Amino acid sequence: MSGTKQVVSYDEVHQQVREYVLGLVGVSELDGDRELITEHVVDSVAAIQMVDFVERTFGIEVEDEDLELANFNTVNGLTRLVAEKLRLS
Amino acid sequence: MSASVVDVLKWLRHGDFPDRADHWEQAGAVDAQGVREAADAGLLGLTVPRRYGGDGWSLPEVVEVHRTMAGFSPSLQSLLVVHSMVCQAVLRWGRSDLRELVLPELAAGTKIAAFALTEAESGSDIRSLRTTLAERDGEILVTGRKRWISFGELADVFLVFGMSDGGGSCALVPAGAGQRVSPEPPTTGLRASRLADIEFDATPTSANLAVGRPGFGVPHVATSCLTLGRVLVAAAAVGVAQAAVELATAHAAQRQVGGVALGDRQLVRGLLAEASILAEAAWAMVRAAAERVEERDPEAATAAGRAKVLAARAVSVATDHASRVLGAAGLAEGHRLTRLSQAARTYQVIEGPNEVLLDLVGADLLRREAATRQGGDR
Ligand SMILES: Cc1cc2nc3c(=O)[nH]c(=O)nc-3n(C[C@H](O)[C@H](O)[C@H](O)COP(=O)(O)OP(=O)(O)OC[C@H]3O[C@@H](n4cnc5c(N)ncnc54)[C@H](O)[C@@H]3O)c2cc1C
Repeated sequence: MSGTKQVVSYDEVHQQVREYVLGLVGVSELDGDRELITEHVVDSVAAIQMVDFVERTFGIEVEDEDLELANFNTVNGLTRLVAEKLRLS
Repeated sequence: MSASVVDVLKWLRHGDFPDRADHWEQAGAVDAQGVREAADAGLLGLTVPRRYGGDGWSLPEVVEVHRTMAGFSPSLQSLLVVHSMVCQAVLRWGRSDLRELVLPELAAGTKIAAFALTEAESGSDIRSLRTTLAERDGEILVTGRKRWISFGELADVFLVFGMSDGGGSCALVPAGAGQRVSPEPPTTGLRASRLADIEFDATPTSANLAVGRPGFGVPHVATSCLTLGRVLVAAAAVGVAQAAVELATAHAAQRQVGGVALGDRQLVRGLLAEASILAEAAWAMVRAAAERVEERDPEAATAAGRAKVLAARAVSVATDHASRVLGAAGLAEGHRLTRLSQAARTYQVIEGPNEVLLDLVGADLLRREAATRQGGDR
């Protein structure tokens, strides 16, 4: 998949996800556990953008079993999902 | 069923398709046979991958067909839009067993799908849905009323959006028991698209027909479907705009007014030129947006919104200008241009009204501005 980068660590995943979400929300700080979707911090378009972003950036495929709100609702949740799929610890 | 782009375009432009399309629009209804023929030509499976029996075309190829078809039958094109949106929902968000179960039938067009999102109290704002999807014992009970559902009168299955305990959700609901389907009063544009008002009264559907997990139907499934729908409707708007430019140019070339051909008048040439420039610009944008959607680019949704706004503007200007160039003849009821103008008006509203999309694009600009500013602080 184009745009796929070789990511080596959990921290790097976290950093990239965080940067992306900060850009989407337009803020410089954001708690990693802040509820993005359920508290309407991001709009519906941004909710999809987050899925597209992690798929493209980390070369993973989000499947039905990954569709738990906990995986997409926070920066920490997204990071954990990507790390799990990439088998990072 | 596997069709080539060239074959399909030939089928649309030649043979009796233009006449039949004309007949549906005049009669105010695409008939079941018309739908069947479209299915037989492979048109209902264009976006579905070959492994599920579809044509597996890329979106930049698909928009070509939508553009061409809308020039003849904006109504049949709208069937392709909603059917593709449902295919997309299942393909991207459905479980693998659901994909295996329903995509082959949808691709072959043996089942026709409609997209049931809008409610009387919830049009452009999809967060305020009142329909409920209540899951219990392997079943989902759907209760609520959906309005203006394209091809709702003919559909075999509806993708219904509503609220469940887990948030915004959606599920496929087969047409039949526990629902009342009534025709909507015809709209001026897309008047042959068999719009229906559908009441679901604790209609049962299998929990296996849920698309995506609870909480993902809205926003994720709905938004990704609408993004696709916006690109396809934008392609249709371009097709209608180009058809209007063609009609106006042909008329200007032969019509004599005061001993001078209309086409020799600079003001008339200006009208044609402006309409054509807008239509071509919109087409370039539609193709670019189609590529982004195909690549699942995170910017796809905004690109689709931008393309839809420009295409809606192009079709509005083009049909307006064409109507002036054709004069009285083009204003007659039943004239092709009248239908194109009516479709143009509808395109300002469906798949996201202009104002809603402008808001989406403007919000994106401001977010980027804020991010750039904040980025400096980090
Ligand atoms: C021919 C046709 C076919 C359709 N097919 C389907 C279908 O198959 N499935 C389906 O679910 N729905 C369908 N619809 C419904 C369509 O999607 C809605 O009409 C559309 O979403 C707009 O909703 P509304 O009509 O309730 O307008 P409203 O939401 O009431 O908006 C009315 C107007 O208010 C303005 N407005 C709204 N929001 C904002 C905002 N945020 N900022 C500024 N201005 C705003 C806009 O000018 C807008 O046009 C169809 C409609 C038509 C006409």
